[in-house]
Amino acid sequence: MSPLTDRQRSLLTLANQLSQNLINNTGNNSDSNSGINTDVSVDLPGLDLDVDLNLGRRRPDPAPPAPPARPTTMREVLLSLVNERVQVTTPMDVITGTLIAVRNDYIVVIENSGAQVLIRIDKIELVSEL
Amino acid sequence: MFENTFAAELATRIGTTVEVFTDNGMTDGILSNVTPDLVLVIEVTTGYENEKVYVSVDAINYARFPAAAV
Repeated sequence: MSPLTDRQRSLLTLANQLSQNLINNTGNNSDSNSGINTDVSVDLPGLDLDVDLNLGRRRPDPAPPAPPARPTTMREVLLSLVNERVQVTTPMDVITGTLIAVRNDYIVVIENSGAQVLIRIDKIELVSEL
Repeated sequence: MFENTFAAELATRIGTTVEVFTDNGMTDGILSNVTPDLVLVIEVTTGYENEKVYVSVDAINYARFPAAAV
């Protein structure tokens, strides 16, 4: 076996230190949940080595996805139903058709007959998607 | 396409046939005048005189414009 060059010897020494570092960190890592979790950084001339080991340790669960925002006003409900078939109940009648527009105080529904119905939002008692 | 308020939208349809529904009934006829508080509908009757009906905007549940009138 040929003798090692200075550079090879230096690299071997650093690799040895790296393995020692791993072992020491594992021994001191008593506060972790389980497994090995350590960061090792070795700075070699002309070579940057950054190792992030996460062996068997559970990462914290990601935050659960936020639930979809629920509408809080009748107008918000109506806005979510634009271009949908709806049934709108007012004190006297039920109007069925396609909701095509929501404005400040009224909505526009197109009935099957083609008639346009302007319904005041204040007068709407129930609305449902068909 | 549509005005921002109910009364303003009705005002764009003056001269068309309309059915105006309130809690207590329906009036149909020609939409003749619209203010922010009041709607004037002229009911077409077979008699000599057409009947003017003033409807409070606040009392209107909805207004229907038949397809032929749109």
